[in-house]
Amino acid sequence: MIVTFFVVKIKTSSAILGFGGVVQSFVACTESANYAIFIAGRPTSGYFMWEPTTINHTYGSQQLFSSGAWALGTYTPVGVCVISVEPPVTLEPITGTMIRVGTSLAPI
Amino acid sequence: MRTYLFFLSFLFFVAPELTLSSTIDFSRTLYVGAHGEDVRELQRFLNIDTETVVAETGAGSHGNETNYFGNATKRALIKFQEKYRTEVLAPVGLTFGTGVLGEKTRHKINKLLKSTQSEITAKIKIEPELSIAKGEVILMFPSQYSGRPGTMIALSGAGFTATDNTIYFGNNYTVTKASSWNGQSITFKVPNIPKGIYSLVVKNARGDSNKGTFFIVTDGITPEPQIDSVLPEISTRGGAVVIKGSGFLHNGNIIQYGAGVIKNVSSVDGISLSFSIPQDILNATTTAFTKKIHLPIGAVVINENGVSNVKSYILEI
Repeated sequence: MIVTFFVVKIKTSSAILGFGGVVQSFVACTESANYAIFIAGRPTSGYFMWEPTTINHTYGSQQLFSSGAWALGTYTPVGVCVISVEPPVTLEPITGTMIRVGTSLAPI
Repeated sequence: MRTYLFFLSFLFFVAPELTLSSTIDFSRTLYVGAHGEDVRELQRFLNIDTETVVAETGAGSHGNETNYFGNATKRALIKFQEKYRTEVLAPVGLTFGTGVLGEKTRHKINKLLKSTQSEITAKIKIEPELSIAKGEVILMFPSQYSGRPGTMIALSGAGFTATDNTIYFGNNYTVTKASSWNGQSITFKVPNIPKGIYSLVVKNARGDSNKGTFFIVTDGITPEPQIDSVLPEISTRGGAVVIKGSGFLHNGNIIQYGAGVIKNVSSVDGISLSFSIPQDILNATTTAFTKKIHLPIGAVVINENGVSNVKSYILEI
């Protein structure tokens, strides 16, 4: 009996990075059931995914979906936003998926 | 560790509940076993600086300060004493902190609290650090959104100059010559101006900041709004929401409901507010969601008496 083991080294994007900036707009990713939130900041601006099924902690004033609120948090540099299947439309580029996020109050 | 430091720093920024009593004056000698509100204020003070936090989570951490002086408070106080060794320890011939809030340590803390220019060398970092173009001033948010005149608050942002920042409270009131030790934070006392809601702007030699944040000067007497419940717990687009609590005004309440802002909401009885979530909120531009999703958001009530607590609820899309 020959048993062959295949050891496969999988490199995962497990880096946890920080982001910060002002919440500007949202895209509803109806087919992937999540939201892409555009956060304008430096050095990283872009679409950050909000996922309802991942461990997602929202702190502070919890105004993540209010334009003008400031958001700070951590993310992993992977994410997908599927807007439609037929025709296939995905939002790109996605900067990452939020892990934890805290927000300020929105402007009044 | 880096992650913990980051969470500590962003919690500092986004939790608008860091309140130090502007009139607290430490007068007792405090040590392990002591109880009292001055112990709680001491913990709050120590938690301002990331180098002297009492705890990173749980009892004693930012927002969870207690009135009990335990070993965690002792350790944090030792760090404070050793940080300001020349003023606190050296004069009495000590090299290492004792963890006892004695005369020299009290004097240093009271001096820091009373200072109009911040001597608190808290290492507060925004990660990632903002790279600011020349001529740009960014104002993000205050350490707390309400307080009475004399309250020490900090503004977070970028592009602040070392000296000569002018903070505008509305169009008519200013705090001049405010300094920033790191270009990202300005600490100052709320000026003695009438009670009310003020938009904030920072101006310095680099230019004028954005508008977008605000501060409510309170009288320190009238209770701030308080939210006890948001019903239903799961709200929907177009659905009616009732906020129950206290401190709501007859007119002029502002509700931040997690996905927008509604102004000039009336309260007939002072203990309830009603509003409807817009039908088109967070709408998809193409098709509808294939399955329902729940967004965790928070409701906040703002009026001229202050800012309420955040009450979480769910928006079902």
